[in-house]
Amino acid sequence: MPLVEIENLSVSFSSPDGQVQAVRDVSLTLEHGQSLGIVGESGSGKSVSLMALLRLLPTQSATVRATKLRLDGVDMLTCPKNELAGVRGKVASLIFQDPMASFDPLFKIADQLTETVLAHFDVSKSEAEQRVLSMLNRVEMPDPNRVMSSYPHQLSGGMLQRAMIAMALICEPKILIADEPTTALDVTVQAQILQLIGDLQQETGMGLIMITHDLGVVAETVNDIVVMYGGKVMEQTTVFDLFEAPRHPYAQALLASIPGQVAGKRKLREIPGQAPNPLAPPAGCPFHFRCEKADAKCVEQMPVLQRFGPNHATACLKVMS
Amino acid sequence: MIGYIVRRLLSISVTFVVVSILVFVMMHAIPGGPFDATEMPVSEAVRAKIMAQYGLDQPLYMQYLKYMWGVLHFDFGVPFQSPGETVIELLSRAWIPSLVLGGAGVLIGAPLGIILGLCAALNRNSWIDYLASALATLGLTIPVFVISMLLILVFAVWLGWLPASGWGSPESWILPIIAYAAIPLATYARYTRSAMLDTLNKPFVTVLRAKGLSERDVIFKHVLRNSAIPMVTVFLPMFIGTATGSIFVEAMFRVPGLGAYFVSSIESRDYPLEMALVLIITLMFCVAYFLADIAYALLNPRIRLGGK
Repeated sequence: MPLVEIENLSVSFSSPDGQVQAVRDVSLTLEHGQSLGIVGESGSGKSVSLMALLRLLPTQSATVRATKLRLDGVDMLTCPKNELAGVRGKVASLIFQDPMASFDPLFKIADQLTETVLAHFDVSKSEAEQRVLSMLNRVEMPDPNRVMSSYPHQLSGGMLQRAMIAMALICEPKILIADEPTTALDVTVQAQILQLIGDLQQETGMGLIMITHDLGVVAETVNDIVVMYGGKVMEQTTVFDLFEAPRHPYAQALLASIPGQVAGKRKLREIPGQAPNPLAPPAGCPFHFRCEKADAKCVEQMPVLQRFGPNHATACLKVMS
Repeated sequence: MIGYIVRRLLSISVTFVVVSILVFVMMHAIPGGPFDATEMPVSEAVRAKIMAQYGLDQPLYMQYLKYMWGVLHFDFGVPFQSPGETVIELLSRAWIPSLVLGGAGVLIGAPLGIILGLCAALNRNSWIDYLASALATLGLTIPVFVISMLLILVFAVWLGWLPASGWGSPESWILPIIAYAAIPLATYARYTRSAMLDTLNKPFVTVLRAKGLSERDVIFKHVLRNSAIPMVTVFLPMFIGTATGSIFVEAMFRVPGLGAYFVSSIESRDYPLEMALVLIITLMFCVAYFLADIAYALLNPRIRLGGK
């Protein structure tokens, strides 16, 4: 049984201007212990898909539809509210982009970590604090005793992200979902945090989903990769295949825009144009506006994911075997 | 924290002195005086004697210093309009109805407003949210004397359940208390709702849910406490504002409270009473803001402990 099963997931938000179609017909699976990167630009629906998996989207404005939405066998679509809390943090944990905004500013780090333990385990408070301390040591937190008695505003971004990782992993979840975990951090700290996440994944054998817009981040930490654009999956493959032989024109353009690939060339290669309007997504390929290879058919017909070999699928009418 | 308290106390003292000087000067700048010929047709010699008796013949700064010296010894002088008692005696008599009605109004209105705002924020765009918004808008836009008149009309005139005015029996307190409660209820419903929604939109609330806390813990342990911080700064000053009486409510319900003396002390140039009222209320507001700041700091570790 796969750890994550998402089948035909669509998410839309009601807004004053109409329905914002953030995710359209996305399917993906993750086996136990595997790692997956989801890459795409802002608004491509990568975070929303996983927030939808954990049912963390606001119920008043978000509509979530899927033929299958399972996390470790639990049907997240029909899971009652009180049981959802038992899945979150225990089966799947999330870490977010901005560690400074991820903690309640009024509670000490120790309180916020122990309450996570106490929410899922029937242990005494001192036992929970012991676990917190050993977890902080495991994430290589400098001076863990001081960190425990600190308030969030007294710690640096890097330390807070370590604390956040400790909080996410303290209940030994089966999967860690990291939503741009290094975007708000200094470059040197970014590398340390990625290293830490990678090491902990190896150690614990948990599954990992890394959401990012930074191809460098996925190259270092995950095996498989999903490229999203305009709320849809464009390409699904291994990291190795993506870097070696990207098939989708969007994936090719994305790789070409990584700086420093061609020596001496100063200017950043960019993909011209803008992402499609999620209020009125095009009937055809969402990338056709910006695609060099697009023709009339791409404007009208929505491409479906086609398999090319065991580990490679691409949604493009122009890519033929 | 101690440095913070000392700084706040210093700024309160400065505020207090500035307000006292301004009011004293403005009070005397108004043309006319308490013993003018129109008020008191007596000979010039008698008038001069009365003026000397009350120290009104001295230069203004001497009068100010003399009065403030008395204030430091809790002597606010003798009210011209009621020379048989001291200002302190008059105020302690007149303040009780205002304190009882205004205090009860806030203590009833504020919790109801908080509960209403809470329910509204937690059930956004539901009927209770619309009810809370409607009540908040009505409470803040309809003048309190219109509310008072409506209350009298419905409950005293049409239904005949409650007396229309007076201070004699506790039944007569009910309508003015409701009138007094309207503004705290409306203000608090609005404040609570917006403070709650503000907090609910913070990323850390998503983290709390994502780590598996029950919705009850998320709301009551974390969201409420974060939302309380902007609210404590409003509560105490509002309490003082209401407990010092409302000229309108007291006039509508014929309550013998403090409100009437605000007007009469200015009209009759009752300098000692006027000064005393302004100084005491200024002091109460200063203390209220001071306590609110302390509560704010106690609730908020970023201020309590300093830092970035």
